[in-house]
Amino acid sequence: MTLMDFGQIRKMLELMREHGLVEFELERDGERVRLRFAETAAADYGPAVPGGNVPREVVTIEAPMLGTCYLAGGPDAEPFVQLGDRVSTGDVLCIIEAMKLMNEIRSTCDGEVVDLFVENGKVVQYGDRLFTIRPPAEA
Amino acid sequence: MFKKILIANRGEIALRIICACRELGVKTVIAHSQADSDSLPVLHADERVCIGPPSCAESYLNIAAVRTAAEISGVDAVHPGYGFLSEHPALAEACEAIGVAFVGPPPRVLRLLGDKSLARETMAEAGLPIVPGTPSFELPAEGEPLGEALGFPLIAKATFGGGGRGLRVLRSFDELRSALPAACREAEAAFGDRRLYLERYLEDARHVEFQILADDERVVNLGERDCTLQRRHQKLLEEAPSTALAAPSRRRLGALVVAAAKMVGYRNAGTFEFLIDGRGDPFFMEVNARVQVEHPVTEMVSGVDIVKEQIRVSAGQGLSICQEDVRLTGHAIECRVNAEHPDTGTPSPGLIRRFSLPGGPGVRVDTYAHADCMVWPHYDGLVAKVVTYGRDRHEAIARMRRTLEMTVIEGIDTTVALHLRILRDEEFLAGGHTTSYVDRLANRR
Repeated sequence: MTLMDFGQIRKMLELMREHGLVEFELERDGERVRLRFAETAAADYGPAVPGGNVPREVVTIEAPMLGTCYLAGGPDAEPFVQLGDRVSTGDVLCIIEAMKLMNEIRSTCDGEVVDLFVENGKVVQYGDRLFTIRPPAEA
Repeated sequence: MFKKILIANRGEIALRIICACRELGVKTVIAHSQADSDSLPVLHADERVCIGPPSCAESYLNIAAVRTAAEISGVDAVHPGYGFLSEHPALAEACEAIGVAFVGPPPRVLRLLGDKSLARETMAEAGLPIVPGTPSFELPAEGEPLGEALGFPLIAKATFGGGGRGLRVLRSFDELRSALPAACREAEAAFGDRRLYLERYLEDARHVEFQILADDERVVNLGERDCTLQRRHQKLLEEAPSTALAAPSRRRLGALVVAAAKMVGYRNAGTFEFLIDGRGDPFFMEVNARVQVEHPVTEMVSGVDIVKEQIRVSAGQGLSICQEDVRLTGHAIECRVNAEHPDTGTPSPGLIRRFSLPGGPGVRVDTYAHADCMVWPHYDGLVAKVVTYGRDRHEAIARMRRTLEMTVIEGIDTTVALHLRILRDEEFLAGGHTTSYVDRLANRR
């Protein structure tokens, strides 16, 4: 993608979140990028209404070690998770490789994968954000 | 010369290494903990890698993380600084395994000198006088007869310890018997090995250490430092030259140290520590196989950049000086400004709100601290090293006094007030102080 690379998209998402923007669109030379938060994100900015849309905490999964992050089990394999997937506690989200050892990074909660912050094969430092999981609403 | 070095350390020594690297045209990567993400060394390094949470065990002592950082950042060498992993053979070996240079002695030398009991025996063979003592033992029951035969007072030391930690002075057999089990447990917890050895305890001694640099061709002696001023076996103030040594002793000890270093195949920077007893007789204690906190004192009187020489040696370029080039002139003093209460020594971590140290002739300050800087409780309390140089001891002391008087550090307690007391005290000024001095100074209040 030439208009915006993955790193720039990630930065844009952070800026949007920071400034409370829900939607962003950029068009240049015939290429277009549109970033839009899911509907429930808008509800996060409204007051809490009993029985209505209640803002939900998201859980951020951070890198527990320095290493190289792989989003799939092998070069031709399917990624462990994609945006929008539902995961359960303990599901493998990615692998961080350090010193030739593969460390499985597992979800700490049930929920929906709403953010992905890392590219396949990139180095992550201790504490870097990897994923954001949104747990299901209270019944 | 290396293209890029990984600094596996923090605080003032990380900055010191960055200084040397910049002067040599070498790029730097710093492996740091989360607590140090906003620190000056991280700011000034060319690259930075966060390897763990604040805790030492999970960051600066984490060999796997440091090794990964070295691999990932594509460095040619790792400089371990002092403390942390600087004398761990395992880190030196991990560097070898990934084809990266370790700025320090080779693993074999680290293993030899890291076993403090074995180091004593080796140095005795090399002709150095050693404090009368016992071999290493694992069980308190083995230590009891050894201690009894040695006589009291004695000092129990961890075989794999060092740096003034894990020492217990024992003045009677009953004290020995009740202390040994705890001492073994503490040695295990702190150093990973429960073995201890005992030495006769020299009261009222002088602590004198010799700085050497070694490459494949030579060992160069940069003279001694006097580190007698200690509180609870931790150095507070260091100076060069030592008032405890007359020229003949200085020459003799220096020659013995060089010979011993050659005998063990020493490489890179190292320090041979001695205690000098009340009669002026020297006794070897241990070798510190790393660059030391107080190295600036030697740099000031010799003009040699010890850290640059370290890097040159590990890059295979060899030392830039030989013994004939070494001229020691003037007098230098270093005061360790620690984040602790000046009288009680209670640690005082926290946010520094004001930080101002004067410059002027003959003053050098090595520090990572500044206003709005956090001094974290996870690490040692060294905030700044204030070093002064003068044509003689009198001038060095006068410079240190006025520098510390003009020092403003607010937000944490520091040892500045204690240093000023020392620098105005008759016994220190006369130069005859001993290892019991700081405690006696406290009792005089």
